[in-house]
Parts: sequence; C-alpha cells; structure tokens
Amino acid sequence: MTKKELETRLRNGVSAIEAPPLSEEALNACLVQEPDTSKKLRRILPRRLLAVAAVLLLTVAVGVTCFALFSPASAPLQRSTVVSLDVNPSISIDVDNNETVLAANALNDDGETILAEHDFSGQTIDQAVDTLIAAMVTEGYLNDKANSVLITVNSDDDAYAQTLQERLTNDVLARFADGAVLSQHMTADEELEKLAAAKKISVGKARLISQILEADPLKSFDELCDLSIHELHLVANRAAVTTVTGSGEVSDKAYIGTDAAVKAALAHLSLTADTVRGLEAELDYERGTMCYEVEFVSGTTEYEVLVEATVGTVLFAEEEPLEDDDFDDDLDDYDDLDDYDDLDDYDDLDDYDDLDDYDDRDFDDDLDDYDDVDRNEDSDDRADDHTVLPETAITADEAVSIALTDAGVTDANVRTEAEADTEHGKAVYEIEFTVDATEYDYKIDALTGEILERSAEADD
Amino acid sequence: MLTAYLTSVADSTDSADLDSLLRRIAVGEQAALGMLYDQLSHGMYVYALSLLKDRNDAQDALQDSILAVVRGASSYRARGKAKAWIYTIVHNRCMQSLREHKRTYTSLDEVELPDDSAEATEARLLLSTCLKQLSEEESRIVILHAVSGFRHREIAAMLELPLPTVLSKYNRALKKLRTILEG
Repeated sequence: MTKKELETRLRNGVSAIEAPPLSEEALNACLVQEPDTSKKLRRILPRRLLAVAAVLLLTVAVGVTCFALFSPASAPLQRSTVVSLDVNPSISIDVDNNETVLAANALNDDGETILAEHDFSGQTIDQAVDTLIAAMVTEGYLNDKANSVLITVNSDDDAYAQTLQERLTNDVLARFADGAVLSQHMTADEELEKLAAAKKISVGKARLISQILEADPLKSFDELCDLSIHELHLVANRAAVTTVTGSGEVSDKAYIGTDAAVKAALAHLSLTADTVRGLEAELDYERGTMCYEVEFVSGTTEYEVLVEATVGTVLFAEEEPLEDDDFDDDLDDYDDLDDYDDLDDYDDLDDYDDLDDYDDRDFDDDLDDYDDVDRNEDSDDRADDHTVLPETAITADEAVSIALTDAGVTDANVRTEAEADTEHGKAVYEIEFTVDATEYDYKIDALTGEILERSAEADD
Repeated sequence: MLTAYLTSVADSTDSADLDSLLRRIAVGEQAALGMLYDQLSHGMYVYALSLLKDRNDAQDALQDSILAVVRGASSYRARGKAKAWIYTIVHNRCMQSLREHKRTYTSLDEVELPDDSAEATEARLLLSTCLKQLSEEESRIVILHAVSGFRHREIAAMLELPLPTVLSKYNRALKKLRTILEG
C-alpha cells in the first residue's frame, strides 16, 4: 500500500463517521448576533473619511433641527433614553428629553430594597444616580471588596448616549471615589432584551456578558449569568474586552491575591519559587468559580494550576512536557530559518512524495528491501527525531540491550527499531523487534533504564 | 497557541471562503452557519473523537465549539486563518472536557456509524487503530492532515512543533498504520 493509498483509505474510511446535525441552539445563537456597524465602519473607513462623514452628518443634523424649529406642524424631537445601573441591585431609569426621571424600576429583589426608600420623580438623572450610589454604599452593596458598577445607557441617539455614559461615570466616581465603573451604551436590541428577560438579568448585564463572550468564546452565557457585576468586571479585564469602558481600579481584595495563589500552587506540586520560571498568575472564572490561573515551567515540564480564589484550594493541576525544541540549542537553528523557508519546496510538493528515499523506503511494497534497510532506518529515525534526551540518559543501544535481555533474545542478528520519545514528561525509548513470529514492544525509561511497558504478540 | 499560529502560517486555500462565511454569521445569517457546518463539522467531529474517545463528549464538544464560533464570529478578525481558529476552539473545548471529566475511554463501540456496512467496519477499525496504536500526538497529526486537510506546516504551527518533527511523526504514524492494516 502506498502512502497515498493509505491516506485515501483513511480519509474514505472515516467519512462513514457522521457528525451530529447542527443544533437549534447554534442556529438561534446565530440569530441573536448583534452587528456592530459603527465598529465595522471605523475599521473600513480611514480617519479622514470619517471626519468628512461626521461633518456631513452634522450638516444634515443641523438641517433637521432647523426644520424642526421652524416648522409649525413638527412635533418636538423625542429621545427615548433608559439608564440602567447594575451592582447587585439592578435598576432601570427612564428619562425624558430634559434628563428628568420619568420612572425608576427595580429589576431584581435587591433593586426593590433600594428603591423602596427613594422617590426620584422630578429629579435629574445625575441626582438619581448620585442618590442610588450613596444608598448602595450605605447598604453595603458597594464596598472595598466589591466596588464595581455597570452603567448602561440605552438610547436611539448614539452620540448623546455616549456623552451621558461618560457623565454618569463621573457622577458615580464623584460619590464613590474607590469605585470601578464599567460603562456602555447601546440602541434597542430586541433579541438581547428577550435573552435578558429569559435569564432574569438586565439588558445591560446581558450585553456585558455578550461582549465578554466575543472576547473569550470558550465561556458560556449561562455560567456568566450567575456572576455578580464585580466578578464580571474581573473576567472582562482578563478577557481584555475593549467594547465596554472601564474606569477606576477593580478591587481584588475579596481574593487571596496572586502571591498567595502562586504559593499554594507551588506547595501543591512540592516546588519552590527559585526552581520555576515563566511564572504567571491571573484571576479568572474557571470550573464554576473564581480562581487564579497559575502557569509556570519547571525543568522540562510546563504546569497549569487552578487555585480557588477565596480560600486558596488547588482545584486542578496539569503538567505537560515542554516541546523538545524549547530546550535544544541545536534546534534553535530551525527557528532561525524563519519558518523553514528552505522547506517551502516540500510543502509545494504536497505530501512530500519526492522528499527523499526515506519515504520511498517507508512505503516500498517490497518487504525484503524494507527489512534490509531497517537497521539503517533506525539511525535515520534517531537522527530525524528531535526528542531531546538529558545528558545522563542511556543510549539507544543500551535500551535495546535491556529489552533483548528481558525478552531472553540472544540472537545478535535480530533487527530492532529504537525511537526516543517523551511521554507524560518522561523521556522513553520505544523498542520494537520480532523474533520467531513474535513481535515485542518495549518502553524503556531513558534515564533509569527501567522497563515501563512490555508486550509480546504473535505476528500475524 | 492560536497567536503563534496566526503570526506564522501562510494562507489556507479555502480560508477566504470561511472568512466570508464568518462575516455573514456575525450578522446573523443562519444559511452561512449551515454552510460552514457542512464544510467543517465532519473533520471537527473526527478530531474531537480522536481527542476525547467518547461519542457523547465529542458531540458536546462539537456543539459547544460551534456555539463559540457563532458567538466569536463578530470578534474574529479575518486573517485567512479561520479554519485553524475554529480547530483551536475545538481543541480547547476538548481539553476542557477532558479536565472536567478526568476520564479516558478507549472503546469506540459507541461511535455513531451509519450501519454495519463494510465502510462502517473500516471506519471503526481505522479510527480505533489510530487511537490505540498511535501516540496522542501522532493520531492528532494524522487526523489533522489526512482527514481535515491541514498542511504539515500548518499543523506544526498549530501544535507548536518544529516542522521536521511533524513530518517524521506523521511518516512514522503512517508506517505503523500500514503495518497494522496490512497485517
């Protein structure tokens, strides 16, 4: 069987495996996509063109305003503006053109608690926000450990919404100087409103979550729904969300801190700080809880440890061998070749059919020839293999000898294949040979010479 | 891993089409999602199966990945690397699933195949051979190249391996498969 025939057989074979049909959930998720036309416009149009467009828009706007002022039949221009505040209490406030509060509505039980003691009718939106923030500080919803406020301005007038968003952010920080504000503005979005209603959260929170998901698609809407605004603020920072504005410094005082998290991670693995490098620790939401994601390298192993953020319990630790080239100075040359430019031709040849004798020999139908070159191929394999063994490792020949001795094989003419590899961070030799129609496979620890696995099967 | 890929790999031939589909998905075009799914779901599913070795988990990983693709479509910046971006999402979902379940299956009896035809038997044999006889890295490379159509150079960037290593692992894996299948 040639290499191409084998690949075709493989491709055709697995084509019988059927992927499940596209889910309704994915189709529905597709429908609720919110095209951000303003962002796209900015990306497509150069700055100068945007400036021209802005002047033109202004001209049109002035024209419309003049028409509104001088036409006796025209109704006054009405803006529809809703401001929502989310901490844990969630409150939405309808305001009129003069920025006077028309109505304030609680969106959850904590919102009811806050609103029960206040009447905002006739007040300006700035006064209402100031009063609400003061009440939330008094009631303990805002404190040094949870200091985040989400402001969402929902208006059909985009420019006005942005101005109001910035002004209200300043109002919050003027009242609660140690606060951290996330602010955003949006136009009415029916799908997002439906989603928010179904999840019993505010539209502002739903939008914030959707922005986090855009930056970090591996999280899910449902899991983020359960988080407080403060937690979402931390997650948004971790995901580097750029479509929601952040002001002030979000507090991490409710958590053990990165130093303690690193300490817990190292202690869990019985390692010390001086033996590791590339240390990184960041607060995130993983596995259903806030935790520190601690990453570092020790020796030839890369570690990822999740440390629960409030008490410092290690939730999960994973280790992976670093790729061989990370530690092999000799292989740095490959990196210097700038993406293997000299190998470009191989790519172009598609499947490397003309690569060299290695391939031809590998897939030669003549098994005798194959056997004849088997020993040579061993050395080729070793030369080709980039598994880097420590200096103290045993040689391939020694590993072969250990395997042959274990199998009780004394025939010096037995053909063997030996291949260095790394498995679960451990350097091993894989040895294969066939004697009297029995195929032997060994895995030998490349450092100690210990036999890790052995198998003997009748060679059909 | 994805960043490394984005900065180092040449365009895939079908990436322009995928970029265009992702743009359409970003504005809520379900038909575009259907086309993308038709084009990629088989390879994505086989790749998930090869990593998770469990039908239900692979199906969940595929659906979660597609959801992530839909939600991330508007933030995806077209750089001609759509397929690798999508496969990286599948890979990450599978790794998350492995972490959550902390289990490893070796039986593929549950893999959904259309019937007990010769093709189905061949598929089961090939896949189980891939999974049982090859190392995880070898089977990953074989699936990505032979089934999903990635070039070795692309796989090298995706898996952050030197190209010669991918080449030699691929050749060795095919050699093992041939020996088994011809045996």
